[in-house]
Amino acid sequence: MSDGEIRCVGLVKTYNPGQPNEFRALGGVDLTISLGEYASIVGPSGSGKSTLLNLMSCLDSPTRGSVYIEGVDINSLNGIRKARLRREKLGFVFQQFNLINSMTSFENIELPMRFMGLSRREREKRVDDLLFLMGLEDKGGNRPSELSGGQQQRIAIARALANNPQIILADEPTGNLDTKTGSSIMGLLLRLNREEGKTLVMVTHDERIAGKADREIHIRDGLIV
Amino acid sequence: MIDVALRNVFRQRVRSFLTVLGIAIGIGLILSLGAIGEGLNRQIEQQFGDIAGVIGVYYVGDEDEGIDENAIDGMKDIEGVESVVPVGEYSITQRRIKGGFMSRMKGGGGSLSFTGIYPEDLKYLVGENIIAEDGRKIEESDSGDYVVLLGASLSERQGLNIGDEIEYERKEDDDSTESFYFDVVGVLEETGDSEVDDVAFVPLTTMQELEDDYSIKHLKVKMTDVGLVEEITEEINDYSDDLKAFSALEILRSLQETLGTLQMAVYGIGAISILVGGIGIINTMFMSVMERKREIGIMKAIGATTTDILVQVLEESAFLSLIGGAIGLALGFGASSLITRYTTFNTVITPELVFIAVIFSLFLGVGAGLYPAWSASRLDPIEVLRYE
Repeated sequence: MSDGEIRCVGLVKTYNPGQPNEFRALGGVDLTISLGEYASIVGPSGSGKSTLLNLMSCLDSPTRGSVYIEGVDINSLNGIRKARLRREKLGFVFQQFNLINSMTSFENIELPMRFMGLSRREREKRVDDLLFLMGLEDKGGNRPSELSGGQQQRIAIARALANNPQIILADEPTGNLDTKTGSSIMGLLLRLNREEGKTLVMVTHDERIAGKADREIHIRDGLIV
Repeated sequence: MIDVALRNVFRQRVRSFLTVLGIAIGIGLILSLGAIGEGLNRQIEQQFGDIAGVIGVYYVGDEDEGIDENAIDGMKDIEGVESVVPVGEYSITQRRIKGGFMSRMKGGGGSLSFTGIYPEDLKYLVGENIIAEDGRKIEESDSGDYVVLLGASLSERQGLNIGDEIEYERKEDDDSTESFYFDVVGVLEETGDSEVDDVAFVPLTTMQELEDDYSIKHLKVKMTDVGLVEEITEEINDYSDDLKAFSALEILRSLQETLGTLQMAVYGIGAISILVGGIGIINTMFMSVMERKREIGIMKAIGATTTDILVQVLEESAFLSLIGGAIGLALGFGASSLITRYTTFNTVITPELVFIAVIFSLFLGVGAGLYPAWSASRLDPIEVLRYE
């Protein structure tokens, strides 16, 4: 297994199993994403895209099947090791940005590094570098509410890169942005994939964005089509 | 993450302030009430401490013969007994000094009586190191003479000094009286022991001759070790039905026991007050966690462990509680000094009380934060991010 590889084997996710409102979100997904690949997951609402991404990020557990990251079955990990995997190997970018409003941009970006236990000096240097990379070096002291949508998403991407993970998982990162800002954010993510070799898995509705991926994975009714 | 915890505490300033106030009042209450209790305890110990190691033995038999010599010698042989001092109490119905007349209650003092002792026993009652600040002590050669040695407080209260005379009236069989005048030969330095400072010592032999009564009705038995007092008191009581031994230690113990019960009640009130403060912390922290569900979900999604969240919430509640504890200490110290200044209570804040207050507030903070912290740490990031 190579660094950065994600492999899903027979992945099934059923919500409320055995209940009248039982719902099968994923019906047995087999999927491998290679190191440095940009894969887009495309499908209509309710098709299981976000569920698949949540399972890959070990935020959720499958009903059946396994997800392997760098050859390790993430369901076999305990809570602490899952958290460590999330902060060391994976970077998340959400549609809603999910920044913490009571913290400044600087503090939002350094948060994963705090969980890692990095020293203040290391954190400060890394945050400064990331703010520069995002072109927001003068926004470190601003709170998310003082930033535009595009700026907030850049801060969120910077936070995702805080611990320099190999894999970036993005759930509709441009969904809340206008076309121009969305393109700019996509450009940034593509650059991370192309220039820094990050593995990029992106859930999107946007066929135009999906079209730029190395591979489009279409999903419908919980199955890859 | 302490800085994050501190900032979270200050997010809702009014709510945090009220929570802190609840703790502060509880800690302040327990500290000031504890200080009153400790002060009372010290006061009692001080008052009884000097006489706690002395057993008073009284003759309660029907005959006039008093305590016999064999019994006195037997008591001297008991292990742990330092001295057995025969004492006679002779009340003075009126006192005249050089012809002047003194009021019984002059200077707020109580009734006056002579304490007759054998001068050689004076060292056992007063102590070897206590000197006569003015004049001299009474000596063996004074036996049969009309001389009196005064304690410091008595001398000051009654305005009596060397060269003054105190009149003792002997009642005759026909109800008439005959006066005898005792010269004040010395005033002892202050000892802090009311059994010395408020006493007028005269030679016992003088009083026995004067009253023509040579019986010993009262003994003071001094112990080498206060710990033996109860045991020896019992031994003396068992020795003869005509003797009644009694120790101030019993009063001290009984007072301390009562005070201990009172203190427990006081601590109970304080504990309830702190408990209410603790419920305030639980409420505050729980509300805080509920308001920050999304934030906690984000933290977990980007790599915070359950322990990270647990510790952060506990830090917040411990911080609230410690601030409350610190303010409570200040309130406690302030209240105690006001109580000492404006009331008759002497308050004493011991390091133990401060330690208890600090530890209590810390444990309270951590304890009260446990449930909210546990709830926060169990939040499912998927659920929270989806619905919050």
